Amino acid sequence: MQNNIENVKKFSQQAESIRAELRRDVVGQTEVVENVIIAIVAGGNVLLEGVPGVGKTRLVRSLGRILNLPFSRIQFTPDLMPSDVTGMNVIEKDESGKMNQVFNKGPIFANLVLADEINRATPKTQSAMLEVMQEHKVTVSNQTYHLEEPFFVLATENPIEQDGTYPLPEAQMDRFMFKLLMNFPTQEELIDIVKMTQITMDETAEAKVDGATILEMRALAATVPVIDEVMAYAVALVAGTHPEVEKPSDTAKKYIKYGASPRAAQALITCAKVRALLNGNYNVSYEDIDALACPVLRHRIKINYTAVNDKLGVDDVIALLIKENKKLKK
Amino acid sequence: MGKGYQKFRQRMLRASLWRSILPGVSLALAVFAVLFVLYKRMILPLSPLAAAGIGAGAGLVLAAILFAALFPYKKRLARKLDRELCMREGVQTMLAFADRQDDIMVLQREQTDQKLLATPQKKLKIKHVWTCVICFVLAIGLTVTAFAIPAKQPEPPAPPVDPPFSLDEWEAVALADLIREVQQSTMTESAKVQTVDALQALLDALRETTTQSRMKSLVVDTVMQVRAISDSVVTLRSFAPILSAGGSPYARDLIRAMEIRDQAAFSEAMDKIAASINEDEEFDVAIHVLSEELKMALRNAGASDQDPLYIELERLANTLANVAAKLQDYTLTWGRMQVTDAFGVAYTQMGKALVQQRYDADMSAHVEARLLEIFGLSVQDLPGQEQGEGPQTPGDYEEDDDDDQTITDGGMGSGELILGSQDVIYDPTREDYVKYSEVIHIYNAIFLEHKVDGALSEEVAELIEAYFAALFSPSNKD
Repeated sequence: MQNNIENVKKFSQQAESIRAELRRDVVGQTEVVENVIIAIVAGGNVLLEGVPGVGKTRLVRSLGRILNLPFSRIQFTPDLMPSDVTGMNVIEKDESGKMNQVFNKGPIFANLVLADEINRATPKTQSAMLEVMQEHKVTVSNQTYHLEEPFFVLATENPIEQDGTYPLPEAQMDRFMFKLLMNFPTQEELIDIVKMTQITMDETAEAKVDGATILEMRALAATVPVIDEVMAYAVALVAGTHPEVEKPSDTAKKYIKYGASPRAAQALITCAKVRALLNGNYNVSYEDIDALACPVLRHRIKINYTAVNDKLGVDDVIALLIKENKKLKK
Repeated sequence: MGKGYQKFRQRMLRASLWRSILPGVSLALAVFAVLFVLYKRMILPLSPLAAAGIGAGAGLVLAAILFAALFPYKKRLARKLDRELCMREGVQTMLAFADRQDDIMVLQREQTDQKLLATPQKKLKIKHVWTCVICFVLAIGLTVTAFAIPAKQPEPPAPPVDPPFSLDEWEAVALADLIREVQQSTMTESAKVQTVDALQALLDALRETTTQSRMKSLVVDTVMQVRAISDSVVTLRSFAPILSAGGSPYARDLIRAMEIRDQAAFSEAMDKIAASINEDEEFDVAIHVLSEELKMALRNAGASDQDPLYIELERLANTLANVAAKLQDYTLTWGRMQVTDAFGVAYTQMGKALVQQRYDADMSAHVEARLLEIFGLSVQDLPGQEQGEGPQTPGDYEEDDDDDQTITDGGMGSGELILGSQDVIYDPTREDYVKYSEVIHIYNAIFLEHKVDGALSEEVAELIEAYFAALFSPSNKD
């Protein structure tokens, strides 16, 4: 038991070491880094939106170094086929000259995968990718190949150059635990980036933990207690995104076209547990829920024209939802 | 639950006690103070003890309600601690998962309790403390003020409304008739003059009287004046108590005899007294004692020596004394003869005086009754009068001679005015029906007048006298 307690205490230290190493390669983007770590530990995938050059690939690559996990990058193009992602069977001649069918694993067979510009791929390829994200396995010619845990996909979307792209359908978007926004760095951050990359363009983060540690952390995070009131608060927040329910929230009635799925509530609680533990707390609080509301909900709700007319973005609407939900706090 | 939690729980428990006791006591004091003031100002007939009880009850109820409302139940305290001490729902988690013993919960409890221990107690705000203190101070002030407020003295009863009075024509005529009646009567002159003067003064005064109370006062004063006049001329009333209280039985018999209205019975009574004295073995002592008692009565009664009854009693006393003095020189037979003659003379002379005095008494009683009747007053309005009782009458003495049926109490005073029948008869002068008892005195007075004048034969006079005697006797009172 003492070992277990030590492991629990070590959790936040390990998380801090991951953060610290990431800061060596990724300047700024504190919230993104934090939430990516949360998503990895929670076992979810992240949709990252950001303009080119803000460090999306660098982030995932650094993570791979820190977690000592194999990393792959898939650049999605319109001509990318599903088999380009998952792999395919090929015929190979063995040493004895016999022709055998061999499965060549695709780039998806890594622990950390960067799916770059996923919205440029065709829906078929997107679907194949998302299916793997969901099930953590690949089935080719009736043969199933399980992906090694922990498996984490960080997909990106380019908010500019929308021509010729295939926006992910809502059902597919729901499979991402978070949608994070990587904004253009501040001037100070940019200065730091330039200075850093003048020295070397390569990532310098060192391995601190391994995949098994991440899995342990995941199991440990699952045991973090959540009181019923906080659970109800999280559920009310998700339910409050639906304008069609019996007693919709004022914000939903006014600004939301359709709300988040039950996966949002699951994601909120799961990630809140991880967040609490990462911050050295041993229970989930309202603050954890509020902090994760935007990443969890922004890709799961659709705002209506009223919000657009009122110049409200999806994050603004989520902020209103949080404000309205505060009265449930006890 | 750890020490940190217990620390704050104790604080909240103490706070809830104070925040329920203070308001409870304040309410108790305030309620008591208000009720006490209402009692002192005679607005609410509630005793201070009851007020204290009600206040205490109200205070207890409030204290109980507040304590229940403020009691630091676990969940309520946990929420408060999380909210006010920024515990990130740690205390609520600690409470909700108190039964879990896994590593995370052990650490969670430790972490939370350490945070609580490190937090000073004062950081947990207790609301309304000063409000409770201020309420308590105000309640104290209210209670002190309640004691300081002077009690309202009971207001004296409002003076009775004094209705107005105005002498109407009937009353004036009736009073004038009464004056004329007295003037035309055969009362003793002095008594007549005084009575007429009193009645005339009353009439004059009533003409200027405007209130009932004043009218009543004047009439009562006049009645008492008439009574006093009557007492001054009816000297029998003065002699009667003295002789009745004397040691000589013959003196008592004499006064009883004097009170008999019936002349025949009076004569018989006097003869009987003389006979009793003559038969007394200690004849000389008897007549001597009787003489002395008569003299004492004459001295102490306060009657004028010109009063006819006084004169006759003096004559009798002197005669008896003379006989007693000469008994040594004369025989017993002589002495007895003298006694018999003396009582005979006394009967004759006293009879006249007594008749006059009875007439004066009856006339006075009539005047009193008429005055009361004219102005709607009753005997109870007279000072010292209670129903059924009158002033001391000569007949109200110890009766030790029940065998003598002829000696009746009679009565010459103005005590019980209701004599005779309560039946009504028609009075042509008033053209109305009146009670017979109201006019009987007038009839008696008229009879006596005619008797003295000799207008009636002896037989008729005796008959009428017996009639009135029977009416005036106590046994005939309704």
